[in-house]
Amino acid sequence: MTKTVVQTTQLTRRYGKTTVVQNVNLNIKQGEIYGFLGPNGAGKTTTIRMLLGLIRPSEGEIQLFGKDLHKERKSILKRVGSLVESPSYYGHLTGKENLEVARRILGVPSKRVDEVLEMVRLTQAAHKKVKQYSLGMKQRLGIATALLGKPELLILDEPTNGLDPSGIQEMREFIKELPREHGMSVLVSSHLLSEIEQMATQVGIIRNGKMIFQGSITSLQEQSRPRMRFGVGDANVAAQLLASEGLSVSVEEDGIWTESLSQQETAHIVEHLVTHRFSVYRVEEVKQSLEEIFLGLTEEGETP
Amino acid sequence: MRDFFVLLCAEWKKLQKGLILSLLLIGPILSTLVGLTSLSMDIPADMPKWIFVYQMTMNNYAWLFYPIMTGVFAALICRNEHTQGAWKLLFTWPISRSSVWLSKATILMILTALSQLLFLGMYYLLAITQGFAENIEATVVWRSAFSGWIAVLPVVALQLWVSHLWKSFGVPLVINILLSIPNIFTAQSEQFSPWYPWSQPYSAMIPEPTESGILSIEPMTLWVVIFGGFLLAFGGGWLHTTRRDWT
Amino acid sequence: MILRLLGAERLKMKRTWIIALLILGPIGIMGCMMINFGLRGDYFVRKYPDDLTSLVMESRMLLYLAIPLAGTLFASLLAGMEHQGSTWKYLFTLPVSRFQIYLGKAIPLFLLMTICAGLTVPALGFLWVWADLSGTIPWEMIIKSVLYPTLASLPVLALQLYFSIQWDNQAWPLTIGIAGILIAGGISKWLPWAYIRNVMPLDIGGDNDPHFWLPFAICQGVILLLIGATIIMRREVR
Ligand SMILES: Nc1ncnc2c1ncn2[C@@H]1O[C@H](COP(=O)(O)OP(=O)(O)O)[C@@H](O)[C@H]1O
Ligand SMILES: [Mg+2]
Repeated sequence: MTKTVVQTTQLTRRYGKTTVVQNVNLNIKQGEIYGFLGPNGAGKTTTIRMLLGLIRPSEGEIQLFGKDLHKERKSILKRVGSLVESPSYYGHLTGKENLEVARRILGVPSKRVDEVLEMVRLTQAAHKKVKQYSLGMKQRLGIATALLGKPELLILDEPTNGLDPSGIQEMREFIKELPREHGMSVLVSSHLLSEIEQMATQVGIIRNGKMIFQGSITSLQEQSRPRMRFGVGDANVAAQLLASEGLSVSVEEDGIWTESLSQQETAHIVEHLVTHRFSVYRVEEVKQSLEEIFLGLTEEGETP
Repeated sequence: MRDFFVLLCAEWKKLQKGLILSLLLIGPILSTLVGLTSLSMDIPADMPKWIFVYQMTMNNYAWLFYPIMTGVFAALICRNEHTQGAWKLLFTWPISRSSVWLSKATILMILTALSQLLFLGMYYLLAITQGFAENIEATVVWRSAFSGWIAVLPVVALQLWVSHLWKSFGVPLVINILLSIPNIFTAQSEQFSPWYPWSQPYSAMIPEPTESGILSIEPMTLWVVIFGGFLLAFGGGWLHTTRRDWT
Repeated sequence: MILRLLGAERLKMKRTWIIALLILGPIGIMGCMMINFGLRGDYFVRKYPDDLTSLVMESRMLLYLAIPLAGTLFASLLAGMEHQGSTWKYLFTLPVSRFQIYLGKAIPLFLLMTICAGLTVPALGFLWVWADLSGTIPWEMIIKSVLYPTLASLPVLALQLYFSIQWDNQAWPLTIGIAGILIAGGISKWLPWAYIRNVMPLDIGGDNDPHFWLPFAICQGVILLLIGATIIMRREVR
């Protein structure tokens, strides 16, 4: 059985009277890339700050590597690398000096600095002052700093913020390799499913502070009920006919749509349409894309 | 000119009024407390009580606090632009760069004037509670406050320039404090004090008899050191901020 | 651990104004004193009983402003550096106790002040020779009159460090510091800013008493440091 790296139970955080994170049970197993998804303001950063001990939970518990964060903060943080929201850096120092500052505190050997610079491909810019870096370079420096202590768990909060498409692609490939090559587990948050779906093995979706889905990408796909599309001539009249039969249908420009149907039901509808002299030229089952599922999940009851 | 007024309004709205007011009040309140403690001292026989207390209150306020706080306010009104990276936003708007500089300078002059008003207000409050308000010669204290305001203008311009230059809040303050420290001696030295810009607020605020003019500043000092210094720093800052790269 | 934090802190100061202030401070003090003695040296001969008193009394005026001002600025620069790049949140996720992170700022602050004091001593020695004061350089008195106020500034340093870390807008700590230095001393001798004056080894008609005020200030400094550290340790980081 694989070990659990992150486990929160009923994690809750309030700011004043508003509950920003509510009863979240995160579960991340070793070697996973866990995609933490949710629209802006859903509570991702707040959750991550609690995982790192930057802020305290109002209720609930956090266990990292099977140990209580509150009690064994230091030994836990030794095994964690993180990048929270905007990257932290000393603008007046060069990229390499920034890493050197962190290296001294962590007490890792100096060749590690060159290793991580190489890993995030900043070797060229190592001697430039960080205030002259582009946003993407600062982000990569932040990741290099997170990797410095050879962490077992890497927590990245929206690491692709400010990156261009090729940068995002590069970051994705980079993160994908971490579990395989370095045995790390990764928690990566994002507000875009498309960024996560190609690398994450597990996803957790949070909305208005509540976890609304947690599981593998494939089980997320199963969440969607496929719909049926009937390509019919004279769709409006045909839809009226089906509606009068008590079926719930909707007309869109590419045909008539219904909820998913059994084989008999499908056969019945086709027969019905044909006997009433409608030409049926296409019948198909359409699966939702992941993005649509995600949007569907996160938009439901958006306004409370 | 329209740009300038629009910007001035925007600057005014941006100010965190509560913060500014608290910072403005600290000095006058504390100086007045010192003025209060001075009431228990022996007041020289040839000096009216109101002028003695004014002198004691003013000493603590104008000697170093006022010029140094001018630097704090200069850094404060540029802080938002530095931390939020808002300079680049400001300079992409269809407004002239000069009006940005001018509006910041105006705000800083307003703040330094407010500081003087609050200082006078606290002094009057002290006078009323201690029952010597009716003896005060208004022309003397008002002229002192007004002269102090005029005398601080070179510092206003220079600090504004320096605050535009450095992102860090501390750096303009380091410069200002290093330059203010010599006041300790120059303010007492007759050869030096007319020429040193940082000691002007103090010299200007020393209360003078009623019959002297609107300003209690030597004409030579007024025109050469104060106006000359102001024009130099104001012009330098203006040329620099309108021409430099903003990243 | 602390040594590693100090090493990191040392590196962070590279290319900052902290180093400039470290050198400009003592030079500034010497420059001011040279101007002062140059302009008013003759008057001092009449004003003070001997040269030693005139040196101590005149540098005293400067030191009790310059020392806490330097402390206020150093504290603000040390903390401001972390506010500026939002690195507090990073430091607090390192496997280091928060108390040590706090000490990692407090110790450099104190060291900077000590170095400044250390540089001021030869600067005043030089002044003695330059101003042509009589007799051998009174090192012991010079050291005392620089070291005592530096030690007595501990409570101010502790307060300023706490304020500078607590508020990301440095206008607050700086204003409080400046107001304290320039004005609080005149209000009560029990306010921390007044201790610097209270410990002067020599005074004319003042109520200085280093034997009482020095231990008192050091103890209070340590207590204030611990209180500040405790508050920051409990604080949430954004
Ligand atoms: N310090 C704070 N005080 C009050 N509300 C806050 C604070 N920080 C975050 N919030 C609120 O918490 C909610 C979640 O924020 P956050 O966790 O940053 O979202 P995400 O990272 O998912 O975009 C937001 O509605 C935000 O306004
Ligand atoms: Mg966020």
